[in-house]
Amino acid sequence: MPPTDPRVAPQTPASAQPVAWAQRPRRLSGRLGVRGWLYAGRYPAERYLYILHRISGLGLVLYLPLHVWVTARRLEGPEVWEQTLATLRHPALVVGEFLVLAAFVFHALNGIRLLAGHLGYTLGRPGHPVYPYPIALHRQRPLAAVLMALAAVFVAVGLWEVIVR
Amino acid sequence: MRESRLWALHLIAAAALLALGGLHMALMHYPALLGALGRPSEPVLAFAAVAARDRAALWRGLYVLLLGFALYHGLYGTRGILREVWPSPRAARAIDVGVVLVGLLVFVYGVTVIALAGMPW
Amino acid sequence: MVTVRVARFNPERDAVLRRQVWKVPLLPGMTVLDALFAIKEHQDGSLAFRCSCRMGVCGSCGMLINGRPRLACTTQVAELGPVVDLRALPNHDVIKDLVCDLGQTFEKHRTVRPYLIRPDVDEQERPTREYAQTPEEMLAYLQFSYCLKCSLCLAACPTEASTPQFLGPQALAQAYRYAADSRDGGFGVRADAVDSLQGAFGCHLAGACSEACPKGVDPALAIQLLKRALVFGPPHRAPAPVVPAQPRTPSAEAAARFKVPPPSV
Repeated sequence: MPPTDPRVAPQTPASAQPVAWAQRPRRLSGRLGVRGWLYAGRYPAERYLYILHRISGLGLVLYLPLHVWVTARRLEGPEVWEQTLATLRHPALVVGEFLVLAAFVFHALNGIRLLAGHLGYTLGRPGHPVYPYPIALHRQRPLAAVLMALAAVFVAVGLWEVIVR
Repeated sequence: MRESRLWALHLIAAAALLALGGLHMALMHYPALLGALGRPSEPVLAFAAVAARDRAALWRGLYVLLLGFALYHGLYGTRGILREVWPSPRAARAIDVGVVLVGLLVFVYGVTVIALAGMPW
Repeated sequence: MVTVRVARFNPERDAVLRRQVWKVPLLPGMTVLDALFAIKEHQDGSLAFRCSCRMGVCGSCGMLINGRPRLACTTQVAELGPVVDLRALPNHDVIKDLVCDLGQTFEKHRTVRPYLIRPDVDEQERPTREYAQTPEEMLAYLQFSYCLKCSLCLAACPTEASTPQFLGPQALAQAYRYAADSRDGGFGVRADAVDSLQGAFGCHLAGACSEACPKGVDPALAIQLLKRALVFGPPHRAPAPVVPAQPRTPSAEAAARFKVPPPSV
């Protein structure tokens, strides 16, 4: 079930609408809004990968300017650079760095699947809709499984790197 | 410009990022793995190593490409998300302009940093 | 007995949804639509729902059934477990109870020009010959032509959830259905409508539409093929020409193409 009821959006004031619409009976908007992105309910795996892809992508794009700024510290000489590296060894920042790594690994490997899919590859060809109906994305499932397994391996190795360091 | 052109560039940037970003992550974030695989793991983040890369034209070129592709890909995706949340034409124009400005700002800043870091002092 | 829980809305009284629960005796082969009729006939005549064909062809009875958009008439109550939870389709205006407004879906469908566009308008209006098509050419769009306009895919689509202006899986799939038709020559015109963030490029391949589709139309596949066509060029350059309805002496090329047997003397 959706988390909370989406259909409680306030009515548009009648004065803001054309006359013909103002005389209509009241309605409820059933639009889920941005919550609709995050609610994947009983939909299949690709629907969850879509959510993760968005979140990881947003995280990476926010991190990018920060990363450029932090690495620019090297312009101020060896001492400031070493000091910056020391600051980055704070546990919270190490965890943050690991999250960026995980986001990159997931976004990149899921991106391979999306790159192929968006251009119509790995989805097969349209055919006869004979029950049980074929779903093109299911033909991509083996690829998705392999890529997600790879992502898990890379994230695990990344965790090991963080611990070793 | 047709959306399909911008979108195709988004995918081209994605493919480039798979190579460039993958290389970047492998070298910078998997030193222990590369060490275990037989590559002598010198400290990639030591100032001497960083400065040596900064002076090599190839590295600087790769940095500029990586920054450009990453900014385009990331900001195109962000633009899509923002325009889904605020789909009105006015908001769309504001989002488009804002995204281009942010992209240019970060790109110019990044390229300046790369250029300054490559200076021989 | 099966419990049927309905999120109700009365436009004359309610500002928000209210939940009402009924118990219905479970009969063999009972569909959700049958259960709704049982409630309406024996327990509460004010319950509103929409239906027409009762056999999964008209696309009127789409609703959110236990968290997924489905047609009430093709969903067996027995497969749902002891509780059947019903509400109107998400991403649509609710008119009353389980009746939602499909007007926006039809509006979006219209914007992609869901009909054959050809230069020979006279021939189209007053045909003298036929537009022949090989089985392979038909297979390129056949699957997508089974669309009911039931709007279940729009209820499932995450982009549709946040963005009313998004054309949605139904309209975009139909745009490709006509683009892929060898008889059609309107790719350029249709591309103007779908080559935008609120068209084909608002799709991010979450795949929920294809899971929701009750007819195997697979809108997700159609939209990706549409994107490919927008980036790499249309599936065909020019619409197929008209051919004589009954070729008496088929050309060698036509004979090879349509495997017409040579005229026996």
